[in-house]
Amino acid sequence: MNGTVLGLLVLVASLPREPLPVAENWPAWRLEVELPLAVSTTESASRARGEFDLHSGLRTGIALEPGAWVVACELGVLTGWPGRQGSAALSTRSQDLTFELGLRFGPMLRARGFELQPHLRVAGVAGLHMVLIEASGHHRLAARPLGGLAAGVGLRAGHGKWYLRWDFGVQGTTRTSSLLATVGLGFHW
Amino acid sequence: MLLLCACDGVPQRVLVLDRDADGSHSLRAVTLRTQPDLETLQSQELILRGGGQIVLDGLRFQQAAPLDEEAAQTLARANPGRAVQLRYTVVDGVAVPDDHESLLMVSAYHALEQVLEFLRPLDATLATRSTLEVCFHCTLDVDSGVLLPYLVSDNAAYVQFADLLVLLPDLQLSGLPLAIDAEVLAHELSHRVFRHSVVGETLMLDLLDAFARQDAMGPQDWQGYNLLMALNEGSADFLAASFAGRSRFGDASLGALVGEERDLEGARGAREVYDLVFEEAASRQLEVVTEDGGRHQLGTSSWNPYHLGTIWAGTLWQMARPAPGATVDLERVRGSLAPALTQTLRDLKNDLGRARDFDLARVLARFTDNVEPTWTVRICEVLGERFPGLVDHLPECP
Repeated sequence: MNGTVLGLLVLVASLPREPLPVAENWPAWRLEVELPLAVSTTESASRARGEFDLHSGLRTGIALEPGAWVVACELGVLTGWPGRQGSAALSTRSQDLTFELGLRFGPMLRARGFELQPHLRVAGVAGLHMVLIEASGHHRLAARPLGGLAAGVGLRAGHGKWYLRWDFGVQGTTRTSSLLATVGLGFHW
Repeated sequence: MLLLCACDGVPQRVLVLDRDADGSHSLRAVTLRTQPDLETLQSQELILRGGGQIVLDGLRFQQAAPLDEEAAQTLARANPGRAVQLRYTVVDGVAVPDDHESLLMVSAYHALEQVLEFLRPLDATLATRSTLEVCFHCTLDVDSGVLLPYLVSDNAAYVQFADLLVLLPDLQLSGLPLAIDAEVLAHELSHRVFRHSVVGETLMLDLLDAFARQDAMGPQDWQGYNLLMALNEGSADFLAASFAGRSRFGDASLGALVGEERDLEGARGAREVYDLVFEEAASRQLEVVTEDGGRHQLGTSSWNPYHLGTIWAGTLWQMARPAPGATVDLERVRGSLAPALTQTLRDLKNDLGRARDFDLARVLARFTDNVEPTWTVRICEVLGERFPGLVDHLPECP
């Protein structure tokens, strides 16, 4: 465990836990919208090296806050950035379009208007992997369905209505398995 | 939106970038002749691997005393890598590659199938009768002072000591990747034919030994090695052009400049170039004069075997003209000259004790012996134009 992670855990442990006042319509809830940017690693088909894929999209969720805890149900859509590989004579563009339905769970820590929310996350993933091959003026498109699971740990840090979020984890789908790192900017009501 | 169905099933065919008759390329669904395991691209004839590494320890080369087999294995090592994992989507019975690497790999596999099918009737050695291992996107860890011709990307290479075909990553964003150009692969696999026909295990050790003890080599030694390397390159060029059916093979990926230099009907085949490059080497002088006027010693790091190689290949190509100025007869190229060449290479193995014993005049004599007698007059005519210093010694060419 490196020093940064250790310091973060000490910080989390030392923050006071102040639950929101429980409203009549317990539990309190929030609507969240965020813009995630994700980087995933995969093994290349030739296994000669690792590759990185970049994804971005939109994630929305409803967070319930029973006491000092947060449980959120999230729905997101992520699309890969179509990476073009090859030359004028032969090129391919591949793109993933994935939908995820996930659950986030963790304590809610508040101090001086700031919020910190370490969490565990699990999600089901489904979508399409598409590839467009261009060669000598000819095009060929193929799409393949994919499905799988993602799990990891993360941290949300916010002030007022805005927050930043980091997630780290693994994702396994029918197409590939990868490490996944996500950063996102969010807003909640 | 039928394509979005992406229905699973056993694919009957696979989408590859395939070579057309005129040398251009287009996407096409083909049936792989060798019926490989499509996930890993492995069959009895061809095995594709990825992530391997070739190591030639240049520093240790320079200190090595006469090499035995064990020492040679320490200096030159090959890790062919592990099985690849082709990714594809089955659409209407056709496996469509899912990513760029998969498309390159399966296209290279198909191209190699075509080349092996072409070479097999010409070759009676293990080069076309044993499993060919291909290292896709291999890395080369090579001391550039030892082997300049090996580049680290955008190329294909046959590594003699490892009996391994290496397809390097394509980083150059123009043209067709060399690694999937069947005409380039025909050139490289012809080196494998040369290796199994001429070099064998004993001469391989001799060649590695020459690299290890460059300082101990005299001009006579280098003469033999260099001419042998030129024969290797030129024979590979001719067999590749025979496969392509054109003198300018591989121009879809070699680019205009290199394509022109390697054109079997190009300037290198001209008499003045012969005078500059070949005659100096063939007359067993220490130095050769290159096209740019520079003088170079006959050493592996300073002498370019491709110059003389192209002249040798161009000479064979000229022999396929029934008369000066006539159109090249492709049937003659494939049915007579190419088989005579590969037979000559096999004969050469019996003639050679060590690489430094190589004598080009003996090769010309063997070759003239191996072609049909009715064409001897034309062949002697071409040899007389290109190799006047040597043809006088051929008994078949009075």
